[in-house]
Amino acid sequence: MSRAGRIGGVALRQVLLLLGITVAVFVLLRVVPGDAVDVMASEGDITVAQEDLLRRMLGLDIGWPGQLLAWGSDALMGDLGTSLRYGQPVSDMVWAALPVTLGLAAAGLAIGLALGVALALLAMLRPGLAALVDALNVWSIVMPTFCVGLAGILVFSVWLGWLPSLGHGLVPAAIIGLDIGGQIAKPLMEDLRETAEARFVTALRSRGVRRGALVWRHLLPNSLTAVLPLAGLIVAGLVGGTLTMEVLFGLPGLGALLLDAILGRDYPVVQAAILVLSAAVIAANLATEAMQRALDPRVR
Amino acid sequence: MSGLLVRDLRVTLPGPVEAVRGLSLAVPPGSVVGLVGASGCGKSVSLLAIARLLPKRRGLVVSGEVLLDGRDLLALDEVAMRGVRGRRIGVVFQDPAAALDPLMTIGAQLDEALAANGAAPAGIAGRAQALLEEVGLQDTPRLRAAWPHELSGGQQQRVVIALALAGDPSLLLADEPTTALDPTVQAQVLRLLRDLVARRGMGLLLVSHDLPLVAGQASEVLVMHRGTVVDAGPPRAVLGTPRHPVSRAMVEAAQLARAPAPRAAPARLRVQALRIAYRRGTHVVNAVQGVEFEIAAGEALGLVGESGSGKSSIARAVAGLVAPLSGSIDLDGARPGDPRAWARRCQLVAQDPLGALNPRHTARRALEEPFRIHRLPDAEARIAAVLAEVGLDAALLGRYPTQLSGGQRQRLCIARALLLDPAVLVCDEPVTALDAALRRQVLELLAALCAQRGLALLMISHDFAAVRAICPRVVVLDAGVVIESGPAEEVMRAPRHARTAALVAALPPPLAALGNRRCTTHPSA
Repeated sequence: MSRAGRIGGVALRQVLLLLGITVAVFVLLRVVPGDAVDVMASEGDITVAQEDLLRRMLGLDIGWPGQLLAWGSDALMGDLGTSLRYGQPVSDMVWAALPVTLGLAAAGLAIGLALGVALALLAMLRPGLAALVDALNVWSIVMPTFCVGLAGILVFSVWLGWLPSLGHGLVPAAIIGLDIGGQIAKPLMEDLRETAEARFVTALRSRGVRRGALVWRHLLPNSLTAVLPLAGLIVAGLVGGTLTMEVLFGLPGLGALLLDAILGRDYPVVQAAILVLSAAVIAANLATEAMQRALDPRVR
Repeated sequence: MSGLLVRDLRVTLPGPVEAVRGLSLAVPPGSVVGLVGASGCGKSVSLLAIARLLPKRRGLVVSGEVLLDGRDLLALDEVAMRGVRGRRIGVVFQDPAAALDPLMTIGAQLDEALAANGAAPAGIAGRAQALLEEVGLQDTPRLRAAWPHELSGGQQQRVVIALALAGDPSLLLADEPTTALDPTVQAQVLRLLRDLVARRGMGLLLVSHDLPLVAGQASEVLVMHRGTVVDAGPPRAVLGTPRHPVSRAMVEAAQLARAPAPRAAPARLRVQALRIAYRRGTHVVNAVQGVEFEIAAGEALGLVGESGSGKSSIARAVAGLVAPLSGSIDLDGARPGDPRAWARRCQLVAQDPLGALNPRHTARRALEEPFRIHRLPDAEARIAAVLAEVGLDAALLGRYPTQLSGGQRQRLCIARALLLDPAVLVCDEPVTALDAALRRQVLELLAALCAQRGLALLMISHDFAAVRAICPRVVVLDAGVVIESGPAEEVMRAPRHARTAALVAALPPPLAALGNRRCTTHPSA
């Protein structure tokens, strides 16, 4: 198969995946009892007649296949619909929230990678630090990020009074970073230790190659290719962590938008937010694969 | 004095294991000294200890003196030692594929080695070119841009040698430099090493388990056993009048038996017009084309060829593990198809015994496996009988593969293959991973099993000497095609095809011939 053909095949698979996720979310949302009008009714006085009128206006009076058809044809034209609760175009709401989420995710990822790689390297050079890596690993696996987030609010805002608990991005990014760093430091450390015993490393030492070059040019790239398949885990942690932190710290990102939309049964907003998140996860997976190919000539 | 002088080297590995117990040797400039011994005798540990490359662990103790041009390397700190490695000592490793960073191009690794040894940035390209030419490689942009896995084993080892020479060392340490290579390539690499020693006036310490190989290269041979040198001297003296039982055993082990002349017998296994192909993406690679042979009961047939000649594909097809594209495999009228039924008639002993055993299963579990798979009774009694047959102590049954020696592991694999009482045994390079003494033992075992059980034995190897020891007839393969076949002695004495001649020429000379010259080269060299 040609290179273009292969890339085309991969792209087609991802588009189909995205389509499947969208339809599944669409159907699941509507199968769950209660819609946006029910939520509005529970919030204020609306007569049954007004409820029926609202449903007709919002297009909720037809069955889900009909709604899917209507939404799908609009979405294909680039129109993701209008928020059922706020009347704003969904794309505007998602566009406004996206930078917050991307910024938080990028900061969290950067902190996590730096922390994970630094700890793994240090622990390889100083075996005494392995206990710290192990502890952080267990911590990041068992501690839900929202618990850490709550503790972070308590310590930094309530006790220390350093920053307003809401709206500040540094603490949530650090918490996400801690989670990701803890998850990659241990496998990376173990692979670095194994690679350090590899024959080619002995060979490099036998040629008088300096330790710095050994670590940065040989050990780290070789170990990174070994732990790159863990990227799926990192992305999952990143998505979950970002959404949780946004809600907890009141950041107006996709997570906050999504939670509000789910509680209000604001279908178009939920669909759009999940569409964007799924696309981001798929893009991250493709990027990982591309990185693997770039790093390791044997898988090209 | 100049050159390498080792006095009373002792190495204790964490455990503690006394791996080297008082090794003394001298490698004057321009000379080749061979350090020979069975696996586990401490020869590789000695080499790494000389270059101070043993992994630093608690419990590692190295004592004695390693004098290089009068300076004691064991007294140097790590920084000073880094100046010695590469510039004074170069090391060549056993498995060249593992000795190169898989993620770096050949050119980048060369440049790095040159820079590490103080070459000026401006001169690196020229030096790299000179080095590649010196080891017999053409310096092309394509070679520089190549990744290690794209090179053949011989090319990889030449690159490793070029890297070891990057700092113009006065001493080269070579640890089994040709063991992982094909026989014809082996001869070429050995010749290259000898030429380099002569041209550069370097000292070469050649470490190997292969006594005939070392004897053909070295001016002095040291035989190592359990961490000490038990016999030493010029090859002629060590080979001709071995003083120590260990060197005597090594000399004997190197002299393999000759199989009897072939005799006519009705064929049991018939392979006809065999064609095997693999799909690589959209195109098809032909591995084997039109191969035919027959084996009678109680007969051993040798299938000889270099890597990539298609011999392992044939082994897998006969064992029923790959389906041939066309042609037939016929055993008393039965054909591979139902894998379970075929496995009762035909068993495979794979090349690497350690890789062929589940590391988490004990020897007992490995032997019980056939009985589980085929739901057969009387496992205990059958296992005991086969163990006796292959000469494996029943006390070892509780051990895991890594706790067994190489010879024990191969016996275990053979025992497992025999449990189902097969009519055909396919052995893929059964002795390649073993040292000389074990090789001889396993070959004798295979010959005995073949005769006693009336097995049709298909032995696959690149080593003519091993094949000749048990196979009256051989089939020689090249690029998936039979290029020659006939009685083993005849084929070896008068090969009709150039590739066969190259394989025969790559064999070490008979030991008797070594006694005549102080320093001999291989006939092909």
